[in-house]
Amino acid sequence: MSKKEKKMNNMLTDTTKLDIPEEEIYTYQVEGLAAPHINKPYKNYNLKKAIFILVILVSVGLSMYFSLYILRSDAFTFKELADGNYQFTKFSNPGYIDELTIDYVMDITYPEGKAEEKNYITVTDAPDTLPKGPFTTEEELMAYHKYLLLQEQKAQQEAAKNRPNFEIVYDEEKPVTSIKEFAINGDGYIKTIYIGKNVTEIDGKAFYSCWALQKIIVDEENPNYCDIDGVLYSKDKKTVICYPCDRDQYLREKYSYPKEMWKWIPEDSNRNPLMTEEDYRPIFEKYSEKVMTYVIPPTVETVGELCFNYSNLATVYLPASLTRIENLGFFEMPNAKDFYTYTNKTVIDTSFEAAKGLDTYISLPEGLTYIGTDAFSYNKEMDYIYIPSSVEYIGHHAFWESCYESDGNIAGLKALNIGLGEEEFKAQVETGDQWTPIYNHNLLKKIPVNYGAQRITE
Amino acid sequence: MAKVNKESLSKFFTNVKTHWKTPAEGNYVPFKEYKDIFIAVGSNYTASKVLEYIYFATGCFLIMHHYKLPYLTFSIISIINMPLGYVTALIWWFVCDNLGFLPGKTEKKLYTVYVSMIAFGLALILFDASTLFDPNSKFIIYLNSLEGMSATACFKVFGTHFLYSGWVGARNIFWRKKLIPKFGRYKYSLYSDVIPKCIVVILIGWLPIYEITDVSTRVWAANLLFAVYGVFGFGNVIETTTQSISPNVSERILVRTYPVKLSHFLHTIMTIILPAVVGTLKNGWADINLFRWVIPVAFISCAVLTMIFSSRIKERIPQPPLEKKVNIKFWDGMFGVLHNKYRWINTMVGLIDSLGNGMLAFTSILYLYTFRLAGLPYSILTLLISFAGTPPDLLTPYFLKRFSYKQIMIFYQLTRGIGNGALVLAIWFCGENLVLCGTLCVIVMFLMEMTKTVPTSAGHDMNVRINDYQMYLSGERLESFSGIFGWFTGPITSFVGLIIPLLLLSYGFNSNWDILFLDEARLKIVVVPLIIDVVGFFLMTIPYIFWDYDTNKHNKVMQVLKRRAEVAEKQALEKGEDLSGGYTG
Repeated sequence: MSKKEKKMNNMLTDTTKLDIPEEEIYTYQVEGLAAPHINKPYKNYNLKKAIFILVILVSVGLSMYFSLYILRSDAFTFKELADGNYQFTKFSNPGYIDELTIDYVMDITYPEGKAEEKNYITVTDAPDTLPKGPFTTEEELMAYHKYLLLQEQKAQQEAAKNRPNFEIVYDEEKPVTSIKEFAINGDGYIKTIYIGKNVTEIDGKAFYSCWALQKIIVDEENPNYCDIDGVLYSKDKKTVICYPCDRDQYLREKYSYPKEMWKWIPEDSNRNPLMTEEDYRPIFEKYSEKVMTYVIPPTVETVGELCFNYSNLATVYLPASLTRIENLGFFEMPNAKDFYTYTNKTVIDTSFEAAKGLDTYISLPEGLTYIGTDAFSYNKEMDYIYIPSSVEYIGHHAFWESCYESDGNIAGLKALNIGLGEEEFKAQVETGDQWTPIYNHNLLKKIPVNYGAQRITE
Repeated sequence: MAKVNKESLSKFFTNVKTHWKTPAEGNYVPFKEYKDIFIAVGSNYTASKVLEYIYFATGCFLIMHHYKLPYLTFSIISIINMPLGYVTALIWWFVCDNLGFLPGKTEKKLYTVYVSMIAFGLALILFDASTLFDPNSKFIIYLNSLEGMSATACFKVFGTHFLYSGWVGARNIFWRKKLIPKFGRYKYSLYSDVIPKCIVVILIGWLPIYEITDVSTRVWAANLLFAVYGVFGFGNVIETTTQSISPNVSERILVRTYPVKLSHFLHTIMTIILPAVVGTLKNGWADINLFRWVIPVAFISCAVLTMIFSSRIKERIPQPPLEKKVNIKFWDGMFGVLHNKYRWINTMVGLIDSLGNGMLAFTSILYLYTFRLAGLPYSILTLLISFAGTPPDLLTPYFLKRFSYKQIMIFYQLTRGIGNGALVLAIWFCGENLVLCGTLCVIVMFLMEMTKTVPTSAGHDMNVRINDYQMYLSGERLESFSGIFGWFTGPITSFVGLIIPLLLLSYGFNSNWDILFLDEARLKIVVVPLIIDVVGFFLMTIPYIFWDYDTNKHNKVMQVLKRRAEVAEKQALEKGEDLSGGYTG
C-alpha cells in the first residue's frame, strides 16, 4: 500500500473474503458488530413489549404534563425587589381582561356562579336593516356603520356569554413600584390600563404591541407619571412615553364615529363603492382631523422609545421645545402624512381643537438634536421631511421604508431636505448606517439628499 | 484534440438522435425522457421550493407580517396534537408499508376509523365544545391561560387535528390504491394533489383570516387553514422517481447526474427572480401581494410544467408485484430497529440538536433586520452563501476516502460550534456597526456552508450504511419502523424545544417581529439561542465517538447480505419459485 493510500483512513483495507456456510447466513456474526437476530423469538418478548409500552406512555405523559405546566401562564407575574416592593414583570391575558389597574400585586380568582353579563351594546339608533348605498350624506354613511357596529357588538355579547366569572384581587401589602420591559406584550384585549400612585418606574417598552390599548390613565397622586387624555407622560410632561396603539378607537367613541374610516372610498360587501369621491372626501377629512390628529404638548422635549409606533395618526403637531426623538419614536405609522412644528407656548389640550390657530411650520422643529434609529421607519404616507440645522445625530435606518417606487417614480418620502450644507452636515452630524432610505431595492437606489435646503412653506 | 472533440460531439448528437425515442441496447431511458426529466424535475423541485414560503410557524412571512400569532402558541398546538399523532403514525406506517393494498376487512375498518375521525373533527370545529364545561372549572380556566389560546380555540385545534388525520389517512388509502398501479409509488401523489394544492395556495393569500381581531380565533382559524393546506402535498417526487428510473445502475447514475442536477438550475433562476419581484412590491416581504399573486403564480406555473412533462417519466425498478410485498410483524420491526446501535447514535445526536429548537432563523434576522435586504441584493447574497458549498462538493469523494465518518462528523459539529461562536462574537463586539457586523457574519456563514457539504454527503452515506446494517441485523431495512425513535425523542424534544421560545418571550419576542428592529432586543434574541446552540454542537460530538462502523465492517456486512441473496436465489431456483425483484449484486 502506498504512503498516499495509507493516509486514506476510510478506504477498504481488510479485503478478507468471508466464507459463510449456507446454514449460517442468518446467524453469521461479523467481528465487532452485533449478531443478527432473524426469524427467532426475542427473550422475554412479552415483558419487553410491556416495558416498551410503559416507557412510551410514561415519557409522553410526563412530557405533556411538564410542557403544559410550563406553557401555562399565570395571568400576572411579579418580582420582589430588594426594597420589599414589587416589579410587574409579565401579564398573560386569559382572553377576557380588558382593563387593568397596576398598583399592587394582584391575582385572578374565579368565584363560583355565573359571570355578570357585560353590556357590550352601545349603539342606540342603528337602523333595523342594512342600509343600501350609494350614499350622499355623512348621516347615511354613519347609519350604515352603526348597523355594522351593532352586529359586531351583538356577536361580542354572544361570545362573552361563556366567559368565566372572574375577579381581580389586590394585595395592598405588596405595592408595585415598577413595570418591566415587555410586561404586557402582544396583547389583543387590554383597552385601558390604570397606573396607580405606587408605580414610580415604567420601562418605555412595558406596553409593547398592545393592539387594543386605547387609554393609559395615571393616578393623580403618582409622583413620576401622568396622563393627558389617555396618553402616558412623565410627570413634568417633558417626555411623552406611550401613545396607545388603538387610541383612535377611544377618539372615535368620543366623537361618535361608529367605525374606522379609511382614506379610500368605502365599499359594501360586494365591493361596490358606497359614495362618490366628491361626497366622501370632506367626510373623511373631518374624521381624519378629529380622530387622526395629535398635538404633543409644548412642554415636551423627548419623544420616548417606541412611543407612537403603530398609532393611527395622520397629522402630528410637534412642539418647538422638542430636542430628542428616541429609537422607533414614530415607527410604522401607516397613515402619518404631516408633521408640523408649532411655536406657541401653551395649547388648550392635545386634540384637533388645539391644533386650530397654532403658529406652525412644516416638519421637524429647529432645536431638534437627536433622531434615533428607525425613528420614522415604515411611514410610507409621509411625503416631506426637513432636518433642521440643530440635528447632531441621526440613527441607522431612521427613515427606512418611508419611500417606494411607484410607476417609475419615487412615492412617499421623495427627498431628505437638510438645513446644513453638505460639509457642515458631515462635520456636525453623526449618522448611522443606511440613514438615507432606499426606494428601489433591486437597484439599491436611494432618495436624494438636498443639503442646504430651505424649509418649504405650505 | 479539436478533431477528437468534434468527433465525439458528433457521435453524441448522432446517438441522441438515434435513441431519441427508443433507448440503446442495455439501457431503458430514451433521450426524449431525459428532456422530460430535465423540465419535470426542475419545475417540480422549484414548485416544492416555492411552497417553502408557506408554513405554519413563526418564521413564515405570512405569519410574521399578517397573522402575528403568539410565538408559544405553535408549541402549544404541537403538544395538543402529540398524543393523536402517536396513534395515527401507527396506522400510517401500516398503510404505507403495504402501499395502500390492505385486506378488504382491514380497509373497511380503517375507512370507518378515518371517517369517524373526520366527523368528530368537524363536530369539534363547527360547535363550541367548551360550552359543555363549566366556564369556571379548573380545566377551562387552564385552557384559557395558554398563550394565545382559549378553551374554544383548544377544542377547535384538537378537532382540526382529528379532521386532518382522518382526511389524510383516508386519502392515503384511496389514492394509493387507485393511482399507484397507474402512475407508480412516487408520482401518483402529484395527480391526486395538484388541483386542490393550487386552490389552497390561492386561498391562503386571499382568505382574510389574518384580519380576525380576536387572537385565539385567529389562531384556530389559521391552524385549520394551514392544516387543509398540509392535506395536499406537492413534494419533490419526480426527483425521487428518478431513483428508480432504470434497472441499469450506471444509467440511473447518469440520469441523476445530468438532467436531474442540471434541472435545479430552474430553481436558481427562481431564487433570483422571486426576491427581485418582491423588491418591487410596496411593502417588500411584508406585502400581502406576495401571497396573493407572486407565490401562486410562481407555484402554479411550475405545477403546470411538472404535470405536462412528468406524464412520460416511468419507474422501472425490478420488484415483486406490489400486492405481494412481504410484511414484517409489528413488534419484530420495533425490536429490530431498537437493536441497531448506530440508529441510537443518530437519535442521541438528534436529541442534543433539539437544544436549538425554537430558535429563530439566524439568516432571516441577519438579512431582514440587520441588513434590511430585499430584492436583488437579497437574491445575490442568498445565492452567494448557497454557492459556497459547491467547490467542496467536487472534492467530496476525496474527503470521504481520506477521513473516517467519525472524523468528518466530529469535525462538522465542531465547525458548527466554532462558527456559531464566531457569530456570537461578531454580534457582541461589532453589533453597533451594522456593515462590519453583517460582513463578518456573512463570511462566517460562507465558511460554515463550505464545511457543510462533505459532512452532508457523509451523513447520507452513513444512513444508507445504517440501513444495510439493519438488513444484516434483522433481514429487512425497517426504514418505516425507524420512526419509533421519534416516539422516544418526540416527548423530550418537544419539552426541550420550549427553552428557547420561553427565553425569547422574556426578551420581548412574541408575535411581533418588529421587536427585532430594536438593537438591544435583537442582540439578546439572537445571541442567547446561538450560545445554547454552540453548547449543543459541542455536545453532539460525544455520540459520534462511539461510531465504529467503518468501511471494513460495512464491506463484511455487504458480503453477508450478498451471500444471503445468493442462497435465497439458489433455494428459490431449487423450488422453482418466482425470482422477480431479487438482486444479488
